[in-house]
Amino acid sequence: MDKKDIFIKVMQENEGLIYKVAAFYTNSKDDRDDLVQEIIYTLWKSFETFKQQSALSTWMYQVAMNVAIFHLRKSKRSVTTTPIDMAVFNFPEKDPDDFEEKLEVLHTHIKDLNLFDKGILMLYLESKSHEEIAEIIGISKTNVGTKLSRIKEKLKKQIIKTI
Amino acid sequence: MELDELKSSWETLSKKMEKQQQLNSKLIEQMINQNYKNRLNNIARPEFIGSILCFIMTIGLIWNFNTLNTLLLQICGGFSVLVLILIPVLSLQSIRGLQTINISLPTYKNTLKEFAVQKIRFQKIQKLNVFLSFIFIVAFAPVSIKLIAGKDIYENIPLWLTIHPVSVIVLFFVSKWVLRHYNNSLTEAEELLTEIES
Repeated sequence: MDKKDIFIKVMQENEGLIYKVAAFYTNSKDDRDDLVQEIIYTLWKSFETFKQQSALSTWMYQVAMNVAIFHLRKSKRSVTTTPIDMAVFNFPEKDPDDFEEKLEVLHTHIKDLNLFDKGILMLYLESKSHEEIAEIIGISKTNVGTKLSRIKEKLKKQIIKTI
Repeated sequence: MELDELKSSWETLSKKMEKQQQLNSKLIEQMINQNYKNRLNNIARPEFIGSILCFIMTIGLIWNFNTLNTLLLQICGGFSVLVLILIPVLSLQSIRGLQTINISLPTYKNTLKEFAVQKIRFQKIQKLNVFLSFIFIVAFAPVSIKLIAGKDIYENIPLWLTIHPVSVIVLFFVSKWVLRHYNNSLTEAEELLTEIES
């Protein structure tokens, strides 16, 4: 198995992770598709730097979330990536459970959070332990707890604001 | 929505996304063969086009500089050349920063910090560019009339007393509107940086 085959296998086994990061950080389907492409491209470029000192998923989260930060900047300038055959590459759309609607509700609730909080929240929602969040974000374990409490407060304040 | 409610809502969405199996080998290969730098170049295209226009105007101005026969026109012409060089240089420099971003930084915090620092730098440069454009319009008006129509600004004072102040006022309000946007983004980036450091 050559490097490319291993990479493809890894991507197929972990595609859920990539889709989730893309869905969390973007508001539109086009943006999500672009972000998925960009994450996979960057993962491929940095595949050799993955030294197995951390878990594969930790490394994938790190790269994917880093790409997401800069993707936001680019998407604001309305630039799309190279088109790929998207017919085979679609998020669930208008399904009976209204995937898009639920995602929109989630985005409405987190829209006022800054990128730092969003990163921590994303990993918390992914049921990552404080230790894993600390490793991916690059802060201490105790700081993760503090930040999560602040995020809780911010979300509460937002409900009051909405009411 | 409480954090726990948010979590259960995310779990539902997560399950759906995890169930998808859409990445086949052909699609992944297509994605990894793309040139990321080309995409960045697409983003920078308006800046590149603008810079080329500025440089063409600079060459045109320098080429015809001897047509500017009064001291006022020469000062305005010299100033215009200076601004026409400065704006694209600043713009291209900020793009260079964008192209040298290291996305593979070890942690999210480090990347976010670089992002915030760069955003602040970019917004400051854009603010400076708005200011320079403002001055450029004022300085370039008499020069352009001389070069295009061969007329001196003193030859039609009533017309200039109308057109020039109006264009300055319009530009003032446009700049104010643009600067408000940059100031908001700047504050946002600075707050993010403070939060990261806290």
